[in-house]
Amino acid sequence: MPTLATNPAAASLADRVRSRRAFITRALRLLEHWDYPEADVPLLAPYDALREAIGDDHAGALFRFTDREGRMLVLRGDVTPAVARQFAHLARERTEPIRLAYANRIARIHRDFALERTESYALGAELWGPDSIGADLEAIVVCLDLLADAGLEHLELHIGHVALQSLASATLCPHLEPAEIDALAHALSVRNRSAVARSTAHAPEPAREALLELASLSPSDALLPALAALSPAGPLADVATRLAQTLEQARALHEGVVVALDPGARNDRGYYTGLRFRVVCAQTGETLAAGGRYDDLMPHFDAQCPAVGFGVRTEAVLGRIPPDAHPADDGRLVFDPEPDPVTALAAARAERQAQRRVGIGHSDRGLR
Amino acid sequence: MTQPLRIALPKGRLFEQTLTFFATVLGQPTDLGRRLVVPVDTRETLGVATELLILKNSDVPVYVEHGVAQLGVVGSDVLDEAQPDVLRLLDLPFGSCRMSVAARAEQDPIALARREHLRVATKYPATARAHFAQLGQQVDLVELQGSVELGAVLGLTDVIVDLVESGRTLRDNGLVELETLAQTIVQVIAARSMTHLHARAIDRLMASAEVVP
Repeated sequence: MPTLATNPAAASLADRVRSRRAFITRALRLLEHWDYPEADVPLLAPYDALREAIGDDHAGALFRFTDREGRMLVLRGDVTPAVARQFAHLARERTEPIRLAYANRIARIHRDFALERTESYALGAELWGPDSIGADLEAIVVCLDLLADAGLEHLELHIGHVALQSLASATLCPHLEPAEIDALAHALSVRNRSAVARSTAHAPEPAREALLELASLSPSDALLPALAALSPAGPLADVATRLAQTLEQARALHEGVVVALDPGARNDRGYYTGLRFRVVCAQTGETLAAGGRYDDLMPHFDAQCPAVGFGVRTEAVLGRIPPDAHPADDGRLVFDPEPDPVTALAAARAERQAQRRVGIGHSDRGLR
Repeated sequence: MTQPLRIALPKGRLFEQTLTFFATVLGQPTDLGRRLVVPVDTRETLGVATELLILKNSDVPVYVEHGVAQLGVVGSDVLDEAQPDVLRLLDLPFGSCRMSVAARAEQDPIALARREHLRVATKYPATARAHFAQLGQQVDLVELQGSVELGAVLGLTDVIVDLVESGRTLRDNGLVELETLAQTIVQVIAARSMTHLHARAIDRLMASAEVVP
């Protein structure tokens, strides 16, 4: 006679895998609904091709090894350049926008002074072709829709541009020597208001005020129009104006989500060229997803094609999915194989084929 | 509910000086006992509650880099040595020192500079290594955790690289400064990851300091 039992040890192992698989399956279905079909990304890629595209520092952070022919390869660690390399031919062959999604195991270790973070799974989407606020907003909307669909609430959206601080330094303080402009840009990047104040001591007052505001952690909405007004024609005005419009329209699309300017947005992967956004947990500030525009990556693979995309920090998201969103362990029928294993296994097989969960209750584990 | 704003502060004199500096916002918590986490009601001044974490100096950037503390106060000597990925918001007008090379008074500095393998005692191996590498001088580093002056006094090493404030400890132990590597300051650091609410609270805290000329 079978008994109904649950196995907590096996359940906790299975729960983690089931949760991740359920989340990935649901996410890929959502992305497919948004017209982002899943693409398979190769496990290995030539190191030299990636290094040219993303730079020595970022390529050097990936796991590398040499094959039997002496070629250096990298293990899949950052999917965006791998996807770009693999599918650049589509961008050469087609004129319409290309959308791709991916969900793959990766190997990436991020190390700082006291922090080592392992990323083992990459889930994301890429949009190639249009260079417009509409395309940027599409990436943001799809990213937030994916997280909301997983049950995540209390999110914040932080939007910035990777060149904003360096452009502002060079444009608003043209009287500074190049080394001084670099120092000012560095002071802005670490938000050191003291150092920014020293660097801008001889700048016109409106420029100085704007740069001090740019060094703050929560700049006012007036900052971007002020930056545009201080430099009416040129790249700083273009960036500031486009960023202001993106923020305004992102707020209109996401009522109930705090949408904030992130003046310190960084090109921390080596290929971002413009918009950079992060979705963070409003309670802790932990990044749950991030993305941005990378218009100069595809040309490394012979495809002249602007691009924008995002990736989800799968481990961070899984840790925040509400418990009732996880599949429950409803127990399984356990069959005792003694004294008649044939009958027990035949019965277990019949139950399994009727879509029930079964187990075989061996009394002796036999482990030594 | 949003977590309180956590500020990591080093034990000792810097703790007192920081509280005094930000007194208008943080108040002056008393009767701390041996508590390591001190809640402060800053909802009116900052819009969010605050917790002060009382830590060893070198642990402050660890908690901030991890994002466990959104803010910290620490010397630039620790930051330059460890190079944590944190924001450096503000230079504070107290706690300044200098990083210096020092040796026993009777030693010939020129002979030391020409020595093929100089032995150096320090709490700051990365800083010391970088300094002597710039000079093109080979060094053997001896890493000490405290009373670094003793390294040179007892002949364990030829010189030391250490933080100097008034210079009295060096003088009282028969050591002299040979050169200054850098001026060090106390800075307010912040985690790169933070919520919008914390960012606004921190901006308000910085504005209260009114040290920007």
